[in-house]
Order: sequence, then structure tokens, then C-alpha cells
Amino acid sequence: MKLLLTLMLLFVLPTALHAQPGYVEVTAPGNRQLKLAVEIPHAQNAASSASAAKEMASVIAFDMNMSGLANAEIREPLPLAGGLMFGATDFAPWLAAGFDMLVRGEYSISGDNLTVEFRLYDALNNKMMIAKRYLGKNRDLRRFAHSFCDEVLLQMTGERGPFTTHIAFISTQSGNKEVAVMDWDGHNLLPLTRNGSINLNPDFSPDGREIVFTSYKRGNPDLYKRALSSTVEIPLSKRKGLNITGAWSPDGTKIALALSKDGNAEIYTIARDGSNPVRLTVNPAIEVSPVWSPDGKRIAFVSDRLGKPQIFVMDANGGNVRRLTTAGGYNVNPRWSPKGDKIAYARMHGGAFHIYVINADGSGDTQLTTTGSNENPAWSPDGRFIAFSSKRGGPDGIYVMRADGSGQIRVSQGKGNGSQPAWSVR
Amino acid sequence: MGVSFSISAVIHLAVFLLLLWWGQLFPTTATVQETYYVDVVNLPVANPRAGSPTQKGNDAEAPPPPQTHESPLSMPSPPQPSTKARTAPTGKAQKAEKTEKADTSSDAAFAEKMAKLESKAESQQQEAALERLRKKVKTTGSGRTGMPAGSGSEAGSDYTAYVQSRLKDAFYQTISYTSKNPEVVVHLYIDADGKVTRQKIEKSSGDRTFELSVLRAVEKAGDKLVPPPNHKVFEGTFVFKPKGISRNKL
Repeated sequence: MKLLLTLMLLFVLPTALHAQPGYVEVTAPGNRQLKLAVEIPHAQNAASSASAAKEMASVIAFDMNMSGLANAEIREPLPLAGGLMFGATDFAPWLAAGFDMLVRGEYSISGDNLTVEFRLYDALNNKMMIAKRYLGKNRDLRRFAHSFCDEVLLQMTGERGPFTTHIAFISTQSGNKEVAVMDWDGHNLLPLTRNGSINLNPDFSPDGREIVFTSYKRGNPDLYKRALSSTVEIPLSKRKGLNITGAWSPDGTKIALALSKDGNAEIYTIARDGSNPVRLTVNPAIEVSPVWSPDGKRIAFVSDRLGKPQIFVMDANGGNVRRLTTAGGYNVNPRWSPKGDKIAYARMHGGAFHIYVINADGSGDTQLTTTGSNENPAWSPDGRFIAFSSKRGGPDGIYVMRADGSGQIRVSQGKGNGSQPAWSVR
Repeated sequence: MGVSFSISAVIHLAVFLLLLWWGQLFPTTATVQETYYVDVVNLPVANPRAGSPTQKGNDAEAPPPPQTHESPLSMPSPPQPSTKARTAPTGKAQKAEKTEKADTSSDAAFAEKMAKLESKAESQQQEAALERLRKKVKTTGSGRTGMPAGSGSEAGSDYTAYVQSRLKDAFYQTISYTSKNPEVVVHLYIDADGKVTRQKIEKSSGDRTFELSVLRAVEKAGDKLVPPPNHKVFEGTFVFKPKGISRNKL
């Protein structure tokens, strides 16, 4: 009998412990994509312009659609007696049109001054979720709309959106390969370098105020640094041979780069002022493109020590080198995700490059792009998007996609090619 | 040799005893008792759907008693006289027929009386059983809807099931998530007027989008809740998850 009781305890007790007494389960099928109505903002004064209102609405709709969290549609404004502050919103027509959420806004333009207020409503619950008011100049119009979308993402996901960030890239609009910066959606292009030479591989400092890049402006590929607010380009490394693919460490104290001063290209770190070079790899093969893990403890890089370029990972002091990519014969351009769990890279097969992501432990190798030739992936600071350069029938351009490969869209505009994107911090 | 023999004997004895003990525990000759089920669900509740707080009462009349069938214990019906006897009556036979008729009429009356008595006793027993069930229902009163303890009235209905149903309806409209196996445990406080006064996320798998959809569902469901039974404050813990996705541990 005791045996029987023991057996019962052995089999029944774990089941009883696993159960959650008192918890009532509530389930629903599917995973709905929220439907968001973006109402064209209401003008508060006569000086307001309809095109400005439409531009703000289109910025919000673009950001929210790209986020993948909501299906946003621009809608003509419904009457709003009393303004946002005092007027009551009737959600019945929005609900009838199938919308879950609603963005309403109002703005006023006075000379060069712009005042905008946006509100996010939960139409289903008749409730305001966010209200933000922005004061600035007319040129800030798009930034205000992006900033509001950052807030919406914060509300919906718990993490602020990357919509106010920038992408630095190599642009040939001027006829030369110059470093330029644009908003994440391709607007507000700002050429940074104008040295008329070849400039390559830009990378933002962790505080987002400076950029390192390689320039041939003195004949040799040297590493330079410049502040975004300045035109002064400070040489960091002008050693003999290559000084290429510079990458800031997460704490901003070091820069990893490839130097060939001793013969073949090897991975080094230098201080932020260019001093104190420390060699990390010792190998007869070519080693380039170092990138830091977000915790600064590891560095991924490209090496052809096994015959063809592959991605390797080593500790930040150069020890414990191990191969990351095992598939594909030509893997380059590694970029560590901001959360540290994945590494994006480009693989060549069939004469074209494609973007892949792989887990930092070497598992889960996944192809993200299938059309054109795609290189130089760069993560957004929240890890939601990946920017990359792509050639798809026309000139090379900067594209952005979600981290799962969906929603690929060209963001760089105008003539000329765009390549080698680097995404700024928030 | 001797040791091996004794060990073998002990093992055999042990196996024999085990089999004997096993046979006592599970006798092979155990008689299978036929089980009769009484439909206690439908007996006291006129409408099986009664139990929703919006349904009014279980004061509905009890269902009519089942039709009385011939009891297996009732007396056999008297044999019918043959047609031959009718067509050819003789004097002796007529006399005999008379006595037989008297006998059969007294038997039939007796049988009829017995049947009436048995029927009365049966109906009394049924009535008593029904009364006992009614009393039980009235005294216990707050079990799950459709169970014997469920009164079917607003006061005695399963309010948790009602809130779960309302949450489910709202959750259908709001569910959205970005992770693989999202799960959120929410503790709800509903005041005497049926208003959700507090909602506390006790556990979450960390998917903020899913949390938001759960909170929106709670808000939506809490819009039109019927007050809890007896206008007492209700507290309940609900675990939200997408349908078809199971998660071993939170």
C-alpha cells in the first residue's frame, strides 16, 4: 500500500505543482496587426499650409508602417470643434472604418515658427494614450513627426523607436565618393565630406557626435575622425599601407581597425586619438572589418586564413579566435546587433551578395535578401531594422528592412550611388 | 549450491507473495456494477443556459415527472378467456365460468390496487428526491454554471466564468504580439458596481505589445460588466495567451 501511495505521489504531485490553480485562462486566436488611422493634422491658423499637414501625416504613416506593428492609413480630418484640448473626439466613425487607433494632431505656423501637437487615441477604449506638443522651426516638421512615432513605439513595445536617428553612407551625388548623412527615411540629406577624393567605411561614435572614416585624400587610405558639427577632419591613423574599416568600441575609448603596416592587413585597436596601436591578430592571411560586440568583450572580423573570406569572432584582447560562419564560400561585412544576439553579414553566391543574419553562437544562419546584390548591413540602434546597400536594376542605393527581412524599401534619394551605410545611435 | 538454492527459494516465495497481494488488490472476479447517472444538471434548471448573470433565475418550474411505466413488480395481467369457451358454453362450464370470472375480477382489482400503490410510492420517492436536490441547490448555490451547485441565477452564477467570457470577447479584438510565446498574468479587482478598479500585471513574458493588447482587452471588457454576485468586490487572476500556443513555464 505504501508503495502504491509513493507511486501516486511521484506521478500526481508534479502535475499538481505544474498546474496553476486559480488562474483562469483567456485566449484568442491569431495575431492582429493594429489598424492605425493617421488623420491629417488640423490647422489652427490661416498661415498654416496644407502641404505641411500632409507631410507630417505621411511621415507618421511611413514610420508606423515600417515598424510592422501597425497598418497605418492617412485619412482626411474629421471636424474637431474646440481643438484637441477642448474638443471631444467621436470614435464611432473610426471604429466603423475598422481602426483600432487614431493619431490626431493640430499645428500652427507663425512665420518660421512651428507648433505641433499630436495625440494617439485608443479608439476601441475611447482613451487617449499619448499627447506630445512640439515647438520649433518649420524645418523641424519631419523631426517632430518622427519623434512622435518614437513615442508611439515606446508605448506599444516598451522601447523607443529609431525614427529620429540618421544613417551615414557613401554618396556619389557630387561625383566623388563622399560621406553624407540623412534621416533614417532618406530625407534631409547632408553631405559631410567635400574633399573630392574617395572616402569609405563611415562609423558613428557611441555618443553620435563624431564619425570615423577612411579617406584617400592624401593618396593613402588613412583613418580620419570628424565631428558632425565641424568641418575639421582629424587624421587618426596614417600609417603605411591600409588604415581601413575603423569601428568605435561601445565605450568610445578605442577604435578597432585593419592596418597593413607590417605587411598584410591585421586587426588592431588604437586609442580614440589614434595612439597606442595594439595588434590583435597574428596571421599571414588578410584580416579586415572588425566590429565590436555591444558589451565590448568580443570582436567579429573577416579573415581569409582558411582560403576564402569568412567571419570569425575573438575576444577583445585577440584571444580565443573561433570561426562563426561555416556555410557559404565568401562571407564579409559583419555587424553585431545592438542586443548582441545576432550578427548580420553579406554572403556572395551566384555572383551576387545577399544579407544574412546568424546567431552570435553560429546557429540560425538565415538569408534576408533574395533580389539584387546586397552588402554592408547596419543595424538600427533598437535592432528593429537593418540598413544595407543594394543594387537592384538601377544605381546602388541605401535600403532599409525589418530585422526579419520584411519591408525592404529604398530610402536614399536623388542621383548617384549610395553604399556602406552606418546607423547612428539615438 | 545450498546458498543459491535458498536465494532462489526466497525470490520465488517473494514473487508468489507479490502475485498473491496483487490478486487481493485487484480481484479478477470483481463484479462490474452498472452505473446509473441522474441528470442532475437539467433537473433543477429549467434552461440549461441559465447561469449567465444576465439570465433571470432558476426559479423555473421543475420539469414534469417522468412518465410512469409498468413496473416490473406489478402483477401479471389476467389471462384472456378463449373464444372457444365463449362460443360453446355448457351448464357446468357456465358455473365454472362464473366462479372463474369472480376470481379474475378480484385478481384484476387487486392488481390495479397494487399498481396504484406502487405508482404512488414511486411518485412520492421522486418528489422527495427532487425536493432534496432543490434544497441542496438553494443552500450551496455558487458553483460553476451547469453544475448541481449552480443556482442559475445572477446571485449564484459563476462570475469568474462570466468575466472570463467578457475578457475573451474583448481579447479577440485587441490581441497583438511580437514574441513567440507571450503570456501575461493579470490580477483584476472589480468593485460592487462591476467596475474594474485595478488591474495588476503579476507576471509577463516581456512582450510589451502583448501586454498592451491585454490591458486594452481588460479595459474594453470592463466597460460593461454586470456587478458581482451580492454586490461584493470580485478579485480574480487571469492568464492571457494566444490560442494554440502553449508555454511550459512562465
